[in-house]
Amino acid sequence: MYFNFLRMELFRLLKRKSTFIILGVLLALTIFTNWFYCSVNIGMTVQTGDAIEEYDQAFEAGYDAGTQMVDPEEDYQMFGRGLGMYGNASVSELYNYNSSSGNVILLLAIWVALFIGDIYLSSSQKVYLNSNANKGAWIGAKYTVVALYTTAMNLLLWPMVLLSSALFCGDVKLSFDFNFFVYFLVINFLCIAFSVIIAALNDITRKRVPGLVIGIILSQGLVSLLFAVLDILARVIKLDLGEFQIASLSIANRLAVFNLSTPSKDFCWGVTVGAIYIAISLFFVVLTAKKKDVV
Amino acid sequence: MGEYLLETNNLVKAYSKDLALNGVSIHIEKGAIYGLIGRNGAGKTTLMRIICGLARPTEGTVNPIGFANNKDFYKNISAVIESPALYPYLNAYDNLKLKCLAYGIDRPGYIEEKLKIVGLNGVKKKVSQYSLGMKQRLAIALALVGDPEFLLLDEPINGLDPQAIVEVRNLFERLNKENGITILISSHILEELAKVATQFAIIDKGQILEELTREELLTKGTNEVIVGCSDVDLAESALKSSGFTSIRKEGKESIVIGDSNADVASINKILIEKSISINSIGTKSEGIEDYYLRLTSRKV
Repeated sequence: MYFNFLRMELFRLLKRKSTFIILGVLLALTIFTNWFYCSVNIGMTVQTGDAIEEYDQAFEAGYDAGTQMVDPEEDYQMFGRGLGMYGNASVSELYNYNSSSGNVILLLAIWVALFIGDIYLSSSQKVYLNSNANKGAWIGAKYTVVALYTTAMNLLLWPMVLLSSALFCGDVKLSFDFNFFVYFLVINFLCIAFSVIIAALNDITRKRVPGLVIGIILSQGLVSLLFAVLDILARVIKLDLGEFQIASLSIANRLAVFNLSTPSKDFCWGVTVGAIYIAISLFFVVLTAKKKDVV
Repeated sequence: MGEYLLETNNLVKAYSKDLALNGVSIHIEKGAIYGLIGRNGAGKTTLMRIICGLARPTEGTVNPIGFANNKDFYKNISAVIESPALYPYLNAYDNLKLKCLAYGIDRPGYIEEKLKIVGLNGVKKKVSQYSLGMKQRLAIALALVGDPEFLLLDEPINGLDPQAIVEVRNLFERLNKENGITILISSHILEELAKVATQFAIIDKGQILEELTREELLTKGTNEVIVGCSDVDLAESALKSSGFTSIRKEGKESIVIGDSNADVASINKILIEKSISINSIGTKSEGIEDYYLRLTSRKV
């Protein structure tokens, strides 16, 4: 029964316009983001004499402090008229910047809420769930499709980054190292956890809107902000948290801070956080399905 | 009495403090079109939801006598409960395709066959552009996927125009006669239900007031003879002595005889023999609607 439902949900996925529109929007956002990262020259906004002097001093200070600048004059010129701030980044690094920008989870939130919420909007549960017996199989199929689409989105982001890199970022620098592979697996898992939370909100409330609204809020890092405030409060009341940060419990926060050189210890913590969210979400989905009648 | 397909035993469904169903027992014969009659909020939808497994009863059981077991029962039933549950951005074919995939049906021409039954074969436009009648017909086609032996239809003629009502009614009769599908239909449009159903249950405030066959309903609901005469007391005693039992006086000059064997000629003869002058005599047929109203108002 599970595979029948899986085929059904995959068919529905492919028949939905939003499935492809969301990917189109991701492509547009990726192109825009990378154009901004690679082509927009922030130094160009510095025009007045005083400001130039301040930047001169800043560069000199950086040079004196032993930064990577080989030739201060050449580096200064690049800052003034050359490529943007990530102009020399590799595709993997650009992928990291795009992932951490929040575009992917924002679009995922919208897509998941539309895809799962659709079931409740059309009341189609009534058609497929005679006897309540097939609920488990359908839940499994729905969440499999959500995970598959999330993974597809993260995979498709790579050629999108590659394309925009070729368009705006000068030489295309490919690098397939192990760090990128691990980074991709971790952020994909976190994105799946995020999608599962949104899908669960739809399944628990059995409406489309709550998942959509809360999904957008979560993707914009407002929960990270809340956790950060809690962090500050914990310090104010002198609660000894050691090195632990409450903000690290937020998926959006993890996605924003992880990069190619994140220590494996932090990756492990991120995966643990994601797994906990998935487990809690699925627990409440199953509980709701068991306790409540089909609507 | 035919073979039963399904019976329910004292079904109770409570929502917080309200009882949507209160001890409902019905018996559906195999091959019947079972009409569930009741006003809005009487408990029809709740009963249907429980029968097809979408809701759990607080108490009582559903006993699918005509099926090998519960699994076999749920495999062989299909339902259209409340509004048609369709994906508006898909066309008719794709809506049916989804259910075929879920049921593992991969037979060529199967979907077209179901659409043809409801007259929607070849309709390419999306469901969002359908009229309510087309949606109802598509919902019925969707319910026919899996070739169910038992079909539950909740208010299937709601919102349909007269032409569509006739079409849908003919469809039910065809499905019942040609395909041998037992159908449970709920409706508050009583006269329409009376045209197709072979068994009836009258439900009000979560309770079954009466369960009867079409023949029983016809017997109960018709053949009242109304006599206008000068002496109703004398007429009453004359008719009682002739064996009529269901007699009631209406005012000082009318008497109503409700016995099933009451006919104008025999009553006329009895009264003339007793020298009772008759001002008027005629029959009054009571339809299902009158019967329903009488039954539910009696309860009130």
